[in-house]
Amino acid sequence: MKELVYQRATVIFALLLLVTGISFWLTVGHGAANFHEAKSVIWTQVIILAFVKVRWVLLDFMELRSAPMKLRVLFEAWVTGVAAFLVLTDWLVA
Amino acid sequence: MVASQGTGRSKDVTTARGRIPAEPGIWVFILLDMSIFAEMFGIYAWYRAVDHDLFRSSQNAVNPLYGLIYTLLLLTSSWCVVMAVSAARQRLIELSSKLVLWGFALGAAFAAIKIVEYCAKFSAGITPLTNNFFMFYFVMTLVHLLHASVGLGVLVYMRRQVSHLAQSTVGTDGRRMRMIEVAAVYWHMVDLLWIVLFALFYLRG
Amino acid sequence: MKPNESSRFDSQLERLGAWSGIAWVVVCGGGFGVTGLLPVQAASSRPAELAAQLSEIKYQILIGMMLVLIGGLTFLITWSITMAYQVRKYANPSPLAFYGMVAVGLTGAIIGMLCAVIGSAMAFRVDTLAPDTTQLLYDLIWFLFLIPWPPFMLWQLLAGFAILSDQNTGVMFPRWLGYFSLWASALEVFSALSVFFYDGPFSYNGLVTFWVPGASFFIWVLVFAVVQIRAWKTVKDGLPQVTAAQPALEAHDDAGLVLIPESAGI
Repeated sequence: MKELVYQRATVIFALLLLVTGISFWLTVGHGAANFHEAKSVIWTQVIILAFVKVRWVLLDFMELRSAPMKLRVLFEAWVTGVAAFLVLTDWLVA
Repeated sequence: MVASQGTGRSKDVTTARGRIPAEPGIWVFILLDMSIFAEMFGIYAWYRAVDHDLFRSSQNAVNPLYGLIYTLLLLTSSWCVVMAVSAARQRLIELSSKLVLWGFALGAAFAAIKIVEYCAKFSAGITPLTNNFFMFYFVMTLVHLLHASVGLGVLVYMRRQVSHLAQSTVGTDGRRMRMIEVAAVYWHMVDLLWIVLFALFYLRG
Repeated sequence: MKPNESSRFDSQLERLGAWSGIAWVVVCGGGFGVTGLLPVQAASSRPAELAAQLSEIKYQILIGMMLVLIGGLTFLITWSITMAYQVRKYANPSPLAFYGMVAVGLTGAIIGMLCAVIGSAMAFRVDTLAPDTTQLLYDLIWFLFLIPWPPFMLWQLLAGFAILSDQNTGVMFPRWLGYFSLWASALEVFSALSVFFYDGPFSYNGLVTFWVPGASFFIWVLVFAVVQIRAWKTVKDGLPQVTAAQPALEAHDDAGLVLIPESAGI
């Protein structure tokens, strides 16, 4: 089991946990207090962190990192496009 | 011939560069399903931007700790499934089977706690009809929960395929391994979608 | 596996049946387009305004609904029977799956018929009925379109699992079509939300609840029919003998991809 654990995916798992913790602290522990001023900034940070995590799951858990470029690009586009839309909506709408 | 890919393990010979993980068909499903969720994410973000104060204040009724627990459960569950696939590739059947079971257990815990959370909301008088924020909150997390429930069934199927690996012939071997990977890919999709939902509903921005 | 022994007539029907899927999408989809009822008005519309709008397009509605009935009803029946037949022939011979697909296909056709009949009646009396009642008939069109989703979901599940089964040689139906069908079936559930909301994305005219299951069903039929038509060349003279024994999944295996053999001692 130990040998199995020593692979890239475990490092990614640790990173996923770390980023989860960071985003939790950002908005609940720390950022929540000043939400009126920083509303779009915090949302932007949270979205970007979330999609960084999504990308790790896609590339390293679902093994797209070693997949044919065309397939990988499709999903990278999904990640970038959706994240961009979510961030921009908050800045530009209303 | 295939080469090792930098997983740090020379034994993981199946992850050659240029190979479509699992099988091509499942990626059709994954991309399309992720697109539907993307549509919902987008619509949510729009409504949220238009009515920010309502959405932000409604979020106060959503306990972020639930969200954190769900995320930890699903991330760990996904990791277990990745390990299970690695183990299956090396024909460590018992270990793989146990890992899938863990993945299932963590996923089931996710579903159970979710139902607890929903019940808590209903007792507090909060329903999908309360306001637009809660409409999105309930509908989107419910659709995700349905996907996760199907995912639990997929993990049961995966575990069965793993245990059959021990008896398979050369002919069916590759096929079974492929389906094990297909199951794992679906479960990771459930995890990935949750990561976004966590950010949208449970983290306050 | 024996070569295709059906008669020439049967063969022609099979070919035309596949094309009738395209015909259904064009005539039924086009019919709805002609009615002028798309995009659908919100469930929260005021009855008087809605009735007035419908009154203006009365004859458009009647003609469009006629197209939905004549073409829509016929072609959905012919296509659904053909696809069930072909799934049984080329993917999985299960009789239960076959009967299931035939039954739900017919159910689907009847549901579509009800949409069009009620839509016609609504337009027929729009000038004299109370607006509230007109709105109820309007609701009925879309509820019929959306909320009896279970048979459609079952249809796509049966087709999907049959195509993904081990017996599928992939001669006509590639495995991705099976996954595609499973995806389409998952979307049907969204329709159920429409009864709870009067506006917004989850109401019967909503971006999610109307367009996702609605459009995806038409797209599913279209994609399926295109696959059937393109594969016809391969199967029209009988099932190829060589590939008959090789399940579709293995056809995707990369050459040289070797899973760790037992002998590696790992």
